[in-house]
Amino acid sequence: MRSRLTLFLIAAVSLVFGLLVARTMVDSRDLPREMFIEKKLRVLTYGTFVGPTGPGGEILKRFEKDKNIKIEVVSSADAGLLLERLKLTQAGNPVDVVIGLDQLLIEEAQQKFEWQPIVADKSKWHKAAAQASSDHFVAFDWSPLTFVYRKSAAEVPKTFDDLTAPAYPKQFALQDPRTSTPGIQFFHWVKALKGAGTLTWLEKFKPNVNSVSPTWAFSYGLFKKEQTRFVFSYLTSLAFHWGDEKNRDFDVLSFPQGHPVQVELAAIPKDCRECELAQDLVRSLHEEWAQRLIMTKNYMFPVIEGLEKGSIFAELPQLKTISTETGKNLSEWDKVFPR
Amino acid sequence: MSLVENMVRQYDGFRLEIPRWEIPDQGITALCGPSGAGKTTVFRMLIGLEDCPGLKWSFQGEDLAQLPVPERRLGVVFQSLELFPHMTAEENILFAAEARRLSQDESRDRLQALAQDLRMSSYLKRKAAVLSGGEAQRVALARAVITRPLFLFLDEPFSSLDAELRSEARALVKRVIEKFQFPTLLITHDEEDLQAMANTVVRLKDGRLL
Amino acid sequence: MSGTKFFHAEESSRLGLRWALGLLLLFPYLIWLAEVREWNWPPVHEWMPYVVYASFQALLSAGLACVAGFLMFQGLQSWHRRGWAEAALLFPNIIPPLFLVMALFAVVTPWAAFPYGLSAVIVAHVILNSGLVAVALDRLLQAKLGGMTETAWLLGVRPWVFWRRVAWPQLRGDLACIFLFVFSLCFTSFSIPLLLSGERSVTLEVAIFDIIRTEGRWDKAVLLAAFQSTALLVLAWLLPRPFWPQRSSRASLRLLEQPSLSVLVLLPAALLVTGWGLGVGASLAEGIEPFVRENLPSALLLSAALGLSVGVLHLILFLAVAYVLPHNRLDRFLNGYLAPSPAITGFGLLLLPVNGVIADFIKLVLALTLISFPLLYRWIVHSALASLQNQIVIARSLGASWSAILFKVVWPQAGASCLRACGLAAVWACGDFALSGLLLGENVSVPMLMNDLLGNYRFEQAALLLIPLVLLSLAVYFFFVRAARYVVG
Repeated sequence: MRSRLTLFLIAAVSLVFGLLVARTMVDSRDLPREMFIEKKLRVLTYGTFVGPTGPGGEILKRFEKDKNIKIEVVSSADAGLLLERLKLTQAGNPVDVVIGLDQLLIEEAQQKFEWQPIVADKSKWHKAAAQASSDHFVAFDWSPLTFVYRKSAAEVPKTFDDLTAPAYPKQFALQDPRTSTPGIQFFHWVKALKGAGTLTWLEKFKPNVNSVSPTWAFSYGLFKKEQTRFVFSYLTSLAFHWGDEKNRDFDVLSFPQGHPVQVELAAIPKDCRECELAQDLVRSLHEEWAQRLIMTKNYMFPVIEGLEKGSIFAELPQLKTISTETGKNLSEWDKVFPR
Repeated sequence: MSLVENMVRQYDGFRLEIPRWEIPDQGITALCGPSGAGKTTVFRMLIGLEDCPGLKWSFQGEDLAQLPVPERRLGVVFQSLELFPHMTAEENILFAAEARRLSQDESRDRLQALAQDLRMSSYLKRKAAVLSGGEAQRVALARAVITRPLFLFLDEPFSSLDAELRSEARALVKRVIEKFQFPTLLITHDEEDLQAMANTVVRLKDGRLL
Repeated sequence: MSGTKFFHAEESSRLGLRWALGLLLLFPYLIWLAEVREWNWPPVHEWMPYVVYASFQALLSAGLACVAGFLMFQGLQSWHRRGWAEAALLFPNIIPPLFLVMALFAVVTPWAAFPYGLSAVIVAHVILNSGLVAVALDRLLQAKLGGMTETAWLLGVRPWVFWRRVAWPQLRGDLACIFLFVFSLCFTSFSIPLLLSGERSVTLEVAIFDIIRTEGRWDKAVLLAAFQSTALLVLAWLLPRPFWPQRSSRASLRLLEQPSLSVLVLLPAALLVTGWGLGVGASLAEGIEPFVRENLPSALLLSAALGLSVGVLHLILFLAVAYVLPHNRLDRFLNGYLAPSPAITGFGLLLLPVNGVIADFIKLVLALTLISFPLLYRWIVHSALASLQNQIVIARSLGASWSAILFKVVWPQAGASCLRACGLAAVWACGDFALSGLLLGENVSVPMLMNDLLGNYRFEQAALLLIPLVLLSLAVYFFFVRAARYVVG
C-alpha cells in the first residue's frame, strides 16, 4: 500500500512536471537561450495588458528580442492594485517599470514612492495625454469616458443633468468606485460638474441606476445582455462595436459640459536595477507600431495625434473633455450608495 | 402457509436465488446458514428494505411484496436492536403503538401485559441508552409486538447476550410468540437457537435454500 | 533503533509535524505579523456594520439553504442512481462562482431586471449550498440513524413524527454543525457578494478587499480577517465536533422520501446549465476565435498542472494529518479554522523573498491549498478519520507503530475519502482566477484567459471557454478519485 501510494505521488508530480514542460514547448519559449541571458527587466503591469488579448505581450516580446534580455512580468489582478503590489515587491525584488497606472493614482504614487524622471517628446501628443503626463509619469494611451448606449427610437440625455430625468428609470449601469477605476471616474465627473451639489445630484440620479457592479467587465456584460440601455464606459468601446462587431447600433452620449478622461501611464521606480533598459522600454511604448497595437488591442486612443487615421478610431465622435480631481474621498457616494 | 416466489438478487459476485419458498404461517421458522449465505439479504428483502423486482409474497390472500413497507404490518427486531436511546423503554414501546394509532387505553393495557410477560416492569422508566443488552433486547421485542404484527422477524436476536442470559431470553421470547401466535421468521446461525425455538428449520447456503 | 528509541522518535516526529501543520495553516497571518510595523485596530463603527450585515446575510443564506437542502434531501431518497443525483446536487460547488453568477443572470434577465443586493446574494448562496446540505443530511442520517429510520418505517411511524421525536432530539448538535458550516461559507463568501451585492458589502471578505483597494491599510485588513477566523473558530468550538461513522452498507431512508420533491435534486444544476446555455447559444455556432484557440492549449496545460499540484499537496497534507491524529486540540482546530481571505493569503505569499516562474507557481499552489484545505478537511476527511478512532486505539495497544497504523489501518479505509477531497481541491484550483491573476504574472490559465476576454468585450467567448474548463475539471477530479482503486485497493 505504501509503495503504491509513493508511486502514485511520484507519477502525479511527474505528470505536473511534464505538463509544465509541455506548456513551455507549446509557448515556444526559447529555453536554452534564456538560460544564458544575464540581463533581466522586471515589469509590473495589470493582467489584461499582458494577457493574450492585450498589447503588452507582443510589445514586451519584441523588446526582449531587440535587446536580448529577459523580461519578467509581475502582474496585479487589476490596475487599481498596482501600487499595493509595488509596495509589496519593492523591498525584496524591485521592479524596473510600472505600466498601467492611471492619473487617479499619481498623487498616491508620488506620496508613497520615488520615481525616475522620464524624457518624452509630447509635442505631437493629444492634449489630454500630454496634460496628464509629467516628468515622472508618461501616458501611453487615453480615452474619454461617457455613457455608451444602444440606439433606439427613445430619447437620450442631451446634457449632464438630463441623466437624472425620470424618463430613464433603472437604465444606467455604473461601476463601484471602491473597486473599479471607471467607477471612481464617474464619481469625480459628478464632483467636477456639481461641486457642492454632488450629493443632491447623486440622490436624484439614483432611481435611474440599474446596477453598481464591482468591475467594468461585469457592468458591460449586463449592457451587452440588454439589461440596461446605458453603461458608463470608454468612448473607445465604440471601436469594438463599430469595428470588430460591425454593429452601428451603439453610440455614446456627448455632453456640452464635458467628459472625464482616463489616461494610462508608465513610470520607472527610483530603485530600478535596469534603469536604462527601463527608459528604453517606456520609449518603445511610444513607437508607432506599439501605439497602433495598443490602440487596436487595448481599445484606447494612442497618445500620438494622427495615428488613428485610417482606422475605426478616427470615426469616433469627438467629445469635450474636462479635468477632474483625483482623490479617494467617496463620502458623498457612500451616503447615496451606502455599504 | 405463506408463499415466497421469485426472490432473486445479484450483487458483487453473489447470487441469491430462491424461486419458491413456503414459510409456515404459524410457529417459528428458523432460517439458518453460515456467514455470507445471504440470510440478511433475505431478511431485508422480505421486510421491504431492499428492492427485489418480481418478488411475490402471498400471505393471507395478499401479496405483501406489493405493499409499501409500513402497510405490511411486520414486527422486526434487528440485531442492533435500534432502540431510540433518548426515550425510555416505555416510550420506545408506546411509540410503536402510537404509530399504529392504538388508543391510549389499549396501548397501556398491552404494555402492562408485555411488561409482565417479558419481566420488564422494573426498568420501563429507564432511558434506553442505559439498558443492558438483555433488557434492551426485551424492549425491542415488546416494541415489535405491541401492535400485533402479521409476521414477526427476529434477526440474530440473542447474539449479543452471554450464554446464561441467552437461554432465559429464548424462553421468554418463545412464550410471547406462542401466547400471541405470531408467525415468526428467526434468522440465526446458532444451533442452540434452532433447538430451543424453531418449529421449522430452513437452511440457506450460497444464496440457495437447501 | 531499539523499540523505546523508535517509539520516542515517532512521538517527536508527530509532535513536530503537528506544529508544522498548525503553523502552515496560520502562515499567511505570520507573514503579515512580520511585515506590518504598525497595528491599529479600526474603530468599532468602521467594522461593526460589516459584521452585523455579514452575519445577517449569512444567517438568512444558511437558513434558507438548510431549508432547501432539507427538501432536496427528501427528494434524493427517491433516486435510485444516487451517484448522478449527488453529482447534480454538488455541481454548483465545482464551477467557478463567476459562472454561477453569469448563469443566474442569463436565466433571470430575459424576464426581469436582476435584483441586485442582499436578495441576489442570498439566492446565489442558496443555489450554491443547498445541494451540499442535502448530501450532508443524507450522510448524517445514514451514519447515525440509518437503522432507526428503517425501524421507524417498519413501525409505520409518519415522517414528521420521526423528525420531531427521533431525529431532532438526537441530531440537534449535528444539524447545528451543518448549519454552522454553511453559515461559515456564506459569512466568508467573496466572489458572489462582490458581484451581486450592488453597492453594499455584505460580507467581511468584500469589506477586507475594499479596505486593501481603497485605503491600502494592511493592518486593518489583516486584523479584520483574523477577527473573522477567530470568531468562526470559537463558534465551531462551542458545538460538538461532527462525527458521522461510515456505514458498511446503505440503510434505506425511504421513510423520509418525498417523490414529488425528487425533481428538486436537479434544480440547481439545471438552472446553471440552462443559464450557461442561454448565455453562449449564439457563440456556439460561431465557435472559438482563432487567437483564443492559439492560447487555449497553453492555458489548459497550465490549469491542469495547477489542479494536479494542488490535489497532490492536499494528499500530502491529508496523509500528514492522518499520521498525527488522533489529537484533540489539533482536531478541534482543523474543524473550526477557515483560511484568511484570498487577498490576504495571496499578497502575503507575495512578500516571500523567492521569485521566478517556478517560485510563483509554487506560491500559487500553496495559496490555493491553504484556502481549500481546512474546508475540505471539515467537509470530507474529518469523518473518515474520526470513525477509525477505535481501530487506531486497538492497533496501538497491539504495539503497532504510527506509520504502520497510517498505511495499514487508516489509509485503506480513509484513503478514498481523502482522494475525493483531493479531486475537489484540484477542481477548485482549475477554476481559480483571483489568486492566479495575482501570483502567476504573465502566465495564463483558462480562468485567467476567460477573465482576459471579459476585459476585452468578448463575453461570449469567455463563456464558451467554460466547456474546456469543466471538461478539464472533471478530468483532474477523476484522476484522483479513480486513483483510489490502485492506491487504496
